[in-house]
Order: sequence, then C-alpha cells, then structure tokens
Amino acid sequence: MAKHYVLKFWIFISFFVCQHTLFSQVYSDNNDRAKEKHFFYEVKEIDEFFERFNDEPGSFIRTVYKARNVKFRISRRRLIRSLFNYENMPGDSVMMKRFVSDVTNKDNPIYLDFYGNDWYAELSCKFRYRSSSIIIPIVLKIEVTENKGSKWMIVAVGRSRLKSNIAVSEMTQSKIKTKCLSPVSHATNFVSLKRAFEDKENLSNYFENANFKRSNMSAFYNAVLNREIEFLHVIKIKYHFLLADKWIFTVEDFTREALNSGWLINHMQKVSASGMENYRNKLLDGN
Amino acid sequence: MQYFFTGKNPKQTHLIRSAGSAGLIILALISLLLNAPAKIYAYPHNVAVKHMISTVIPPHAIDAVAGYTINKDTVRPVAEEMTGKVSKEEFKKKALSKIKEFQNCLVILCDKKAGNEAQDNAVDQATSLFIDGAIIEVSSVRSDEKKHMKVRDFLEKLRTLRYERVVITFSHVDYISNIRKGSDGKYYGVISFEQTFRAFSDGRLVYEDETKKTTEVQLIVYERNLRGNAIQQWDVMLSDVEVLGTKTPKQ
Repeated sequence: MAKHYVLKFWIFISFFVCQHTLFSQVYSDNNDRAKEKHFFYEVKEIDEFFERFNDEPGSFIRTVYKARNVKFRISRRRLIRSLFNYENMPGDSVMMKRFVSDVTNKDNPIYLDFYGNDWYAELSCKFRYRSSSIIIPIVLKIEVTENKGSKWMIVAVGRSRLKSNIAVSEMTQSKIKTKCLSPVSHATNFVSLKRAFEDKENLSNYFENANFKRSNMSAFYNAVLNREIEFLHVIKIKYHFLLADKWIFTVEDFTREALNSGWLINHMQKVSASGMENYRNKLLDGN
Repeated sequence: MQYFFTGKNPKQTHLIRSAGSAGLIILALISLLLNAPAKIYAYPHNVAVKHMISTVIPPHAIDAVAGYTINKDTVRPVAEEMTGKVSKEEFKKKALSKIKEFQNCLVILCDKKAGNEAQDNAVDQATSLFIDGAIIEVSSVRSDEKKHMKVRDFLEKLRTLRYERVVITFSHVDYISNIRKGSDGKYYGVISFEQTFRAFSDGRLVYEDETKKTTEVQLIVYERNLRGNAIQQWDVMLSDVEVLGTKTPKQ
C-alpha cells in the first residue's frame, strides 16, 4: 500500500516538473498554427467575400484544403453563415436563417456578381479643407466598359459642410481617356484616389457623368478640381449589397483575432421592391 | 478545422474548445506518463489530424495558384487569354514570385550585417519591382491615422531602423484574388500576406508588430529588341500597397 502511494507521489511530481516544458512547447507551436489558421479563415478582401458567398471552385479556402489533402465538405449554406459578423448577428438569428435558406434555394439560388449593378462601396474620406479636416462620404461602383474591362467610378457624394466657391455645370474633357481607378483599388483601401484627385487633367474620368448633377457631386468635383480640398485618406469602407429585389445587407471590415473576422455582413434587412429602389435612390442622392 | 463553418455562436464553440482542452490535459498527463509528449497536439483531435497532414507538406511548397479554376465572377469581363498568350496561372505565379522577391529585399534591409552596398542594391531592386507612382499606405487598426509614402521613402525608412537585429517572418500562404481586366486594358490582381516584425537590442526583444500587407499587381506588356526583332514580352509589377497594423506593437 505504501509503495502505491510513493508511486502516485512520483507520478504527480514528474507531471509538475514536465508540465512547464510541455505547455510552453504547445503554446509556441499553437501560436504559429493559430496565426496560420486565422489567415485561412479571415475574409481578407471583399473579393474573398464573393468567393465564399458563391462557393467558387477556385476559392482560397478550397485551395487551402486541397493543398493539405483535406476533403472539402463545407456546404455553401455553411460558407454563407460564416460571412456574418457573429458579434452583431448571432448564428441562430431568424433573419440569417431566412436569408441563407433563400440564397441557397436549390431551384433558384442567388449569387453575387462582382460586375453587377447591385453593390456599392461607400467611403468615408478625410480631406484637408480650409486649414482643417473634413469628412466627405463618397459612393463608388464597378462599371463594365466596352473593352470588357472594368473600373471603379464615383457615382455619388454625400453631404458635408463643403461649399465650393466655383460653380461648374459640367465636367471638362479628359486628356487621357484610359486613365481609371483599377477594378482592384478597393483592396488597397482606395489609396489610388490620391493619384486620381491629383490628376486634374483627367479628373472627369473618375466621375460618373450621368450622376454629375445628382447628390453633391458637382460641388465636390469643383472643389477637387480647383484645389479647394486635398484628399488625405479613406477612413472606412462599407459595402452595400442590394440582392434580388428583396435583401439589403452591408459588409464591413472587422479585423480582430477571432476566426470570425475580416469583411463580414453587419446589417441586413428584407425589403419590398419599392423599398429597394428607395434605398438605392437614397444612396445615389448622397443621403 | 471545419467546425468554424458550423455557424455556431463563438461562445458555443469556445465551450466545445474548453471541453476539448480539458480532454487534452488528461491526454497530456497520460502521454507524459508514457514519455511521449511529442505526440500531443493542442487542438481537438479532428483538428490535430489535419495539422498533422499540413506538416507533411513544407509550408512554402504550397502553391495557392495550383488547382485554380475559372471563378464565376471573372467569367464575363475577362477574356480567357490575357494579351493573347499569358494564362491566369502564369500571371499569378509571376505575381507571387515578385512578392517573394520583395520580401527578400525587406529581409536584407533589416539585416544590420548586410552592409551598405547590399542594402543599396536591395532598395534599388525592391523599387524596380513597383510601377512609377505607387503609393504605400501605412495604418493601424487602433488608429484613424494613415500615412502615404513613396516606395523608396518607405524602404529607406526601413533600413535606417537602429536595432541590433531584426527578424521578419511572413505568412506561409498568400491570398491571391481573381485577375480583373481594367478599362485601360491592363490586368490587375491583389495579393495579401501577413508579416511579423521583431526587433532585438542587447539580445532582448524590444519591439514586435504584426501587419497585413495587401498589394495591387499589374500585368505589363513591353517590347524587347532581340537581334533586330521586336519581341513582345510581359511582366508583373507591384503597385499600391496597404500596410495595416493588426496587433498592438510590443515596446
């Protein structure tokens, strides 16, 4: 019996002696793996949001599984659920369930189209204006061109305290027609707007002509053209998706250590066709 | 690994993980007694198995381009062949190799033993990877402040850091977006990767930060004169970069 207690004692002691080494090994090993795992699951770019939403065969997450010889058993339904910001919209939300069920309907599935007319980027931009800073919301959308290419275009300008001193009723012709905001400008936080707003000769290339007299675009265009404001940077990007005449949702970036991170759906609403049109008009009117 | 996609509340998954951890501690004890700690994994069993699979493949050997197929949202505007000859796979491979080249230059710039000549070359080589006028935006998730810098200025600033030793590590896998044709006829893509920067002085870690770098890449077509014949060639150039600090730096 005494021998039994001595044996138990030594097992106990050896566990405590070894546990420090063991757990420190596990921690450092874990840290690298955890970082790698985070990189796999984070929705790193809005492009990846599209990939996952549509469950594209060449998506990053599928490629990672394939490279590791792990069978990809995740359904599109699950992929879409992972695109919600769980901190704002819990997994058991009724709205989310309805949405997922609707877009993954076998007979009539709904997909996102990068080149479609149903999504917009709303930017909160910081400018220098009269020796202080000013925040101006700008709305952009992807426009497909005749050469089967695409570009980001400014389609609306939101309200701000900007008052342009010079009034111009139409945009001036650009010198180089091909200059544009590349279709991947969103990934680098639209830093290319800095170049665009400094390119006064071709400024009209970056604005949607049809919307020039709508929202606050003409006053904004004039202020940029006449150097009344200077672009500093984009503070925040919010994407608006208007889907199948019934779903509206916004996607924002949540950079955090959780696996549920990156570009995620933060707000969602179900609307009627007229509600959808009102939402679009409000966005394009700069309200 | 797939449990993340169950869509459960993180708190629920945390509970599952905690239960898994408790089980692991018991396993650890048994394993210690059996003198086999190397077989223990910190994740739940199903995850650990997949990590074991991943360790079989050297991380840098994983090519995110491999197995890439046409994606739904690129089908309409992008022609199958870029400028007649370049495939999307070739474009992506080239873009990845440019990123690796850029990463190598960063390592040289931060190596205090590299010497002035090697660092001058690294600045020149890294700058030559970018298109003229490319902008680097440096920011942090904890602040609204963002700085815009020219590529050369960014690199020169990096080389002047006064630390005894600097270690830069990059994520093993890069994210590469779909290739998109611009209205200007050029082809564009995006590459994202993560970087950990550690600086040491007197043998101690004195600064550490983590950043996510996102780079725009462009396909450039140019003509080269070879024995009197103009031959059309292509290359990939890096463009604007966003450097986003993702974690509070340790000072």
